[in-house]
Amino acid sequence: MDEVALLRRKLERERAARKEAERILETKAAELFDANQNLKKLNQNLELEIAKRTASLQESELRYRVLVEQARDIIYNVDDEGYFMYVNSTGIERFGYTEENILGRRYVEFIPEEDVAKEFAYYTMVKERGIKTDYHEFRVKSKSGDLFWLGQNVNRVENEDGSYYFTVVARDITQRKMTEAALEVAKLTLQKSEVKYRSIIENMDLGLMEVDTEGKILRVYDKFNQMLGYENDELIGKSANETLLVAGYEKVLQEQDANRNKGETGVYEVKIKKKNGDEIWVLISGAPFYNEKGEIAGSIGVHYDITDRKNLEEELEVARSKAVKAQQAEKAFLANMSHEIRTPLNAIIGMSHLLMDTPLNDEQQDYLEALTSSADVLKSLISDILDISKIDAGSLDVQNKAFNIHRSIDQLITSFSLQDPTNNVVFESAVDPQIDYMLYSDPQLLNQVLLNLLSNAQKFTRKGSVNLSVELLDEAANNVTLRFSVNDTGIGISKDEVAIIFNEFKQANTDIRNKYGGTGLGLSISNQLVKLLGGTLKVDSKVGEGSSFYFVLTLGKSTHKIDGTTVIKRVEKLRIRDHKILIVEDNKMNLKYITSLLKKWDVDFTVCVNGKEACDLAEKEKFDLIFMDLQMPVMDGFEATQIIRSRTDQNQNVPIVALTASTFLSKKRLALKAGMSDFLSKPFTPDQLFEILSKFLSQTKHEVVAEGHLPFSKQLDSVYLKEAYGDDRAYARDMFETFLEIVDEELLLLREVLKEGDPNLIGQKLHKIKPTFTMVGLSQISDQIESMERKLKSKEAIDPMNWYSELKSQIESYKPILRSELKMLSEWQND
Amino acid sequence: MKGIVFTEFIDMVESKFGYETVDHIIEASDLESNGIYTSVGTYPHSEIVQLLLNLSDRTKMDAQVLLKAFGEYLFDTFLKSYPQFFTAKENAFEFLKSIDSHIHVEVLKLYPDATLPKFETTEDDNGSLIMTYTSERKMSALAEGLIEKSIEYYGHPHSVEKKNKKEDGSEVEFIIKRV
Repeated sequence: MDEVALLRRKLERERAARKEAERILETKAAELFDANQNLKKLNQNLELEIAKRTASLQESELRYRVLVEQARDIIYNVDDEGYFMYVNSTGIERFGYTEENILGRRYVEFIPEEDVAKEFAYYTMVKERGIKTDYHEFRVKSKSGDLFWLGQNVNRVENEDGSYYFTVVARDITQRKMTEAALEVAKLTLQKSEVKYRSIIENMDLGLMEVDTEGKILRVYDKFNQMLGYENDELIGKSANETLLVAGYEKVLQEQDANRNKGETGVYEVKIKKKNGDEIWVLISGAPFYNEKGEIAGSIGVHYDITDRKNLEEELEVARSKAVKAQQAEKAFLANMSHEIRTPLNAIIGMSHLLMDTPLNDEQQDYLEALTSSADVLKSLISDILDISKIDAGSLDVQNKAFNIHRSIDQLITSFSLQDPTNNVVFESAVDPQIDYMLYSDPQLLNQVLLNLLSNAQKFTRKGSVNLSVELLDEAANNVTLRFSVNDTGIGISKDEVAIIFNEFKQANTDIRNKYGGTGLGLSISNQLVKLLGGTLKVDSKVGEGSSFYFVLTLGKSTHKIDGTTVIKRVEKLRIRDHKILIVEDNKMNLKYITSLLKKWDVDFTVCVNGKEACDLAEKEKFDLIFMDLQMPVMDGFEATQIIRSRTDQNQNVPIVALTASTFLSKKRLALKAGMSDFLSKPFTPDQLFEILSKFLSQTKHEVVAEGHLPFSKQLDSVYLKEAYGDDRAYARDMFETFLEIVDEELLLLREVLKEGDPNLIGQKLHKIKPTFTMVGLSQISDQIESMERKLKSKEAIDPMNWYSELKSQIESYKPILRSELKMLSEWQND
Repeated sequence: MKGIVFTEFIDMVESKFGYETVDHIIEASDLESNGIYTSVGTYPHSEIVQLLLNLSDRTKMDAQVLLKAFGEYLFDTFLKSYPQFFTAKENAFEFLKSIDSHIHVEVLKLYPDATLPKFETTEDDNGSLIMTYTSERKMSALAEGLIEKSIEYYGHPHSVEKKNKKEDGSEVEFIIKRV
């Protein structure tokens, strides 16, 4: 280590350290200097502040002096002997002197001579008692001799040496003194007029009584005595309530007395008793009265005898309650009767439907139709009466459920569209598309109202259109206001008639009843249902142009958006009524399935069960389309097709669609070869059937709307079931019901065939029953049957009876599921 | 950290190991101040740590031992510069108790920006003084040197037991017993 270099570094560090220390100290010194400067500045500010305060003190003293001088009150000082030491300018002016004249004068000189003794005595008293402050009113005389009143506050101010003087603030109160005198006069006048009015009241049929705050009678008037048969001295001093009040009304009086003591008036009715014990009803108007000090001294009651009126009211009430009871009994009777009648009536209707399925001659057919339609009318009448009595009895519960308004309206309109056989009236609907969420209301009640209105419109409209619209009037965070209206182009209603159509059993006029029928309950029910839903049913109408029934409801909004993914297809309106379809099918399930769909779409059809019958029918009648099963007893579909095609008649070129359960293309080819136009594989969906109808009848159109589906059990083929039935409960129910009815018989037949062992017959049988199972969601059973079919075809070794018993036990195990599905579907329908 | 700690440290190193060592530890450390210290200045804590560690390296002595020795050295400086703090108290306990409540209060008046360790004191049932050192700087060895020298100053022998309350040394307990 280089010693010199080391020392140099040490020296450098020490020098640097010294410099650093100097810099730090200089900085500190500068900070100290600044702090010192700030202190100096603060000191200067303080001095300035003191000067300012002093000036403001002087200013405020001046201000007070000016205030005293300019005050409208007289302000002065007198010494202990009553000599003026200071008088402000108001005082000098009021006393009528100049400042020089007044100072040194004595206060007593301003008192009128007649008051001097009194005032002197007062001031002597004040001085002797050493009273420090006091208020005093007295008369004063000015220099010119005017007399006026002063009210003054006197303060004794003591000096340090024990001597004292007075500071006085006085005000001219002459005006007030004069008002007081005038009031005295007015009071006398009032007393006179009171006597006058009292005598007037005494001459009226009103009994007056005065009581004190304790309820003791102070005074009674003659009319009051006459009313109750008392003398004055029999009542005065007694407790009014104890002597006069009939038991049971104490509470009313207690409340009234309490109000009176608060200074409130009141009118009330109670029963009081006369001296002879008779009771009378009185209307009392009570009011408090006051003594001179303004305190409540008691109350005065004006009594008016209302016994006659009360008796009448009671009689009326008795009569009314009797009437109400009678009315209730009538309603209960009506409700019970309606219910009792409905039960046998349902039997009549059910039986007549059954009867219709039996062979009938034309005459019997006519009678039966008349019977059925009368029974239907009777049933709807009874339902209406039952509804009315339910609404009247208030026993109708209004639900609040989420529902899809588009779907509800759509289903309604569809059912009406399909009902109209003449097609003269177009049913349309328009629901604001902005409503893309579920709504809360009672969908069933709402549906009933709209159904009633639509039925009504339908009844009175012979041509044109019926239009149901739902407009969105207002939308808030949690609810929407909607305007429902049903407009028609029917006969319309006159202004006079509009007034009565909502009444029960009222139709516009008797002519209408004769011509159009009905009970006149529909609109009344609708009106009441709309009320229950929170709206008012109204109508605009013009005779000959049509009517518009409408109402506005505010409904809750669901956060649940309408799901656009569950979409199935719907027929809006099939314009294929002029067409006639022939169905040739021997399988009951298939027949039920296809005819239900065609009925639903309002398509005209004829049914037969084998090829032979089909040929016979085709000979007699023109068909626009034939659905032909392939395997049938007596004559199969191939043969029947060939025969029809070979004839030169109206049906030679009719489209014939094969209904085949076969998935084998060879079968289909065979069908086409036999002259068939197309084929439909069983089981088919409504869509597939519809496609065929569209293809061959061509005047149909399709529309897609959002719809839901039924919640089928997961153990069934729900994909197929959804596709086949959508949300058509009635349809699905019919299918399940038919299946459960026929399945045992079908199995028995299958067993017979299997037992006989003819492979051809077995194949045919299997082929026939295969689709039946798919239709109720048992696709796997159908699959097993198909695989058996295949084995038969390929001549594989089989044990038919063993296979059968296994198949049967599987089907048995599914039966409870199918029954519970059927139960679910039926319950929903009744819902 | 107050400049006096640095100037006294440098002085101690020079007196014990010579200026050559001072020069070495300054040159070996990466110092923002370049090793130029004055008692009226304030310098980063990290510098004393570097100097101490480099001294430990150079001398092959334990850093804690060096720090304690520095505490003892610093005591003499404090005694010379601020005798009034010591003469005002009659015994070691009185003095030690007054560090937090009095001496450090006075220090803060002069140097408001100083960061001082905390010395909480309590007496247990046996009459021992329990002194708790708390500082993020973890220099309890320095405190130990100071404590021991102050006991020596007052003349009555005491034993000093040292216990880490926190493992990192940021909180240390000294149990001081009269012997």
